[in-house]
Amino acid sequence: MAEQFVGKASEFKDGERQIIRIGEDEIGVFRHAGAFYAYSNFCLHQGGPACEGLTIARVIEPLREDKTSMGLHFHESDMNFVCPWHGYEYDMKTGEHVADRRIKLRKYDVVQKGDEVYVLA
Amino acid sequence: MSSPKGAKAAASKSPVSKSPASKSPASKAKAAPRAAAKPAPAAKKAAARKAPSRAKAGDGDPTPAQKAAFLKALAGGVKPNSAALRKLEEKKGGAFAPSPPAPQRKVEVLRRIPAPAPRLETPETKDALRIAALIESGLARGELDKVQPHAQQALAAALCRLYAANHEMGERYPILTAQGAPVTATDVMVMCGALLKAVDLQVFELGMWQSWSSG
Amino acid sequence: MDLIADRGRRVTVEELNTTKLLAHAAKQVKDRKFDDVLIVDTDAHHYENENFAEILPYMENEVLKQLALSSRAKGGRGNVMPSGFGYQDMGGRVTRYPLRASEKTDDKRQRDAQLGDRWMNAMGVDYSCLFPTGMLNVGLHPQKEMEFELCWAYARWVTEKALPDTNGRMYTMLCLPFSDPEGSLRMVETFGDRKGVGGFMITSVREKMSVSDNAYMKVYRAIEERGLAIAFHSGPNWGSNTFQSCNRFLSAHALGFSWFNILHCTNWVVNGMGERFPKLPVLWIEAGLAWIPFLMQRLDHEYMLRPSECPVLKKKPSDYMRDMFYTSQPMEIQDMEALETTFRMINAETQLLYASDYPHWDFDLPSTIWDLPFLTDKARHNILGGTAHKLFKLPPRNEAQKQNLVKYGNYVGG
Repeated sequence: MAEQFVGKASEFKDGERQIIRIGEDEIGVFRHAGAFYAYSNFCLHQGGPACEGLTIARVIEPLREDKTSMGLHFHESDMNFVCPWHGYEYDMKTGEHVADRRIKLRKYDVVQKGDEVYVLA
Repeated sequence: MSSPKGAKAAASKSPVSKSPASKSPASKAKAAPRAAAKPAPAAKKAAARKAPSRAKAGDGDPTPAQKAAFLKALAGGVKPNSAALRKLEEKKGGAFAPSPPAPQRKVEVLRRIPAPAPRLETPETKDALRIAALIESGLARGELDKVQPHAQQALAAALCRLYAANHEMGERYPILTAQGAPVTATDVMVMCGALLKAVDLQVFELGMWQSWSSG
Repeated sequence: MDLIADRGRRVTVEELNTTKLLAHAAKQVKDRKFDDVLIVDTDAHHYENENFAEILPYMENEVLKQLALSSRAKGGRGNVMPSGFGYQDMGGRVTRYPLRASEKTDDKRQRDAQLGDRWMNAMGVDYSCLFPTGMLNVGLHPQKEMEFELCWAYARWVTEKALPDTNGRMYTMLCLPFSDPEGSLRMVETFGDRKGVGGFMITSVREKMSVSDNAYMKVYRAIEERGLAIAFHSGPNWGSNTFQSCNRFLSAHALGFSWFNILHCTNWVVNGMGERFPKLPVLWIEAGLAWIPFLMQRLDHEYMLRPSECPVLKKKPSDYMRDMFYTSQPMEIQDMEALETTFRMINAETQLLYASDYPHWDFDLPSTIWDLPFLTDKARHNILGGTAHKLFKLPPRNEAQKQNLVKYGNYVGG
């Protein structure tokens, strides 16, 4: 593992993404709600560009005490990113598939040194 | 009636982020920062159940045992160390590619997908939000007559025209948001009814207009 | 450009470029040396409604043509094609739907041909069978005259304008106006010998259709005599009574595709069509594979108890089903052992045909077949293109492909 320089934090706006290539690896680096996240850009389904699609809040269906449904709502803070090929939806914070948490994109650590952002890869 | 507020309350059972977007102080306090590299509990449990050895998860990549267990679960019956498994590993390369060598390598930026245009806080927006907050706080105190009817009429007319003009230009957005004050179905029916009455429209005319303009 | 996500929040995505979107598919092609394998995609689509301005003038009846054209004129309020409910694009999550219009092409060739080249090249597909999208609902049109006119106009446009622009890389199975047996026969007689026509297709999204009615025998015979194939292409119909209790698109979609093929396949098999037209290749398209073992077991079970109801049959329903062909997509790769059993039950090595269904939301890449751990090399090559090469007489595009066709006993010339 080595620190690979990605860019300057001050130039990496919230909501922005970068898709970088390091050797054979393609990595999607997100800045979401202030934090950086980096995942393999190869979807675990059929290999699509997992990090290049829509980001969208997790959809929830809260149930009341009596088990009646309150309908569909967007979660207040949980964000997902979606592979544009087929809609495999991953949790922004963990890289896990939201329907089956065992399916998990390879996650890369991101470190910030001063204004510089590095991915450990 | 299911209100967005209720949805929020139920949702707070799930791990709530430590992101600044999270508004509730209670959920903020509950949120435990989770080490990035720590495997998710579900994954860990699955690995412990399936893996031949109870290998402890390292900081970075999953252990070989975890990989095997995961693939087995995923493929539902592919035997470990088989050619089939190797093929799957190859296919799922993103997650199970061999650890990359340590030395510095060239980082190539393939794409930079910018953040969307920020929500602009124009002076007019700030003023409008201030007035909305003023009305909300009055409502909360039960003060219903502080904003007099003629002011309400002016606000309703201006907002109606602004929303319709944007809609006509293709700028479609919901008129109410989940985060806003809880507007009930009754509120909406009363207000819509009053708006229709003000321009002498019957409900069936609204229905007809909507079916014509749906294209 | 921006897409709208939750609560009106905007998300920036790049404008659509199919080659770029499918760059990872191109990597799979290289890694797996797909250039050496003849790959035939037996079910791909375009959005023919984008070409209605060119298609509708081919309608024959002047009154119906005027109705159709005026419905599309500015301010027109008509609706020519039945359309269904649904959220194929998952609220924009499958970005190629909302971004479709943003993709740039030039004026030199049909736009669909140019887009076709891009995704076929990216996926390593040599030939695609082109089907329409909205017209898969044409069987729901209450007017059989309009159904005929639309099928006729599309058949003329696709064989005279669209396919000739694809450099031979696309072929089709023309949609039959099945509510009109005479019209269907006229279609077979008119278009059956045209270049790029591999057979005829019946949209199986129909609420009332009797595939075994005597009125159709002459249609099937005409197709069989020409050495062409017949296909049933499925789809969802959330608006039908059957699916009124589905409160999610997922349910109506998952069941709809399987259901309409189950329904018509049952009638086809039970009425002994396989016995009547033994040389007519029959394809079942876009319903996945999981329904087939279910139906085989179900029909065999009842047949053994009630053979008096289908005296034309000389073997079990599942035996007739094994004589037919199935396209692979959307392949349910969930339980590998169940999938392997399915492949065994349908004789996949000779009866399964790879299909992508691109650009629809649940498309499958050739690697979904290639990477299956239980397949022999011969099965891989057959399913991806060898069997389709024999069915549709599609020539190999290079020497390596030819050698592979020869090696696995599929080569029939070209």
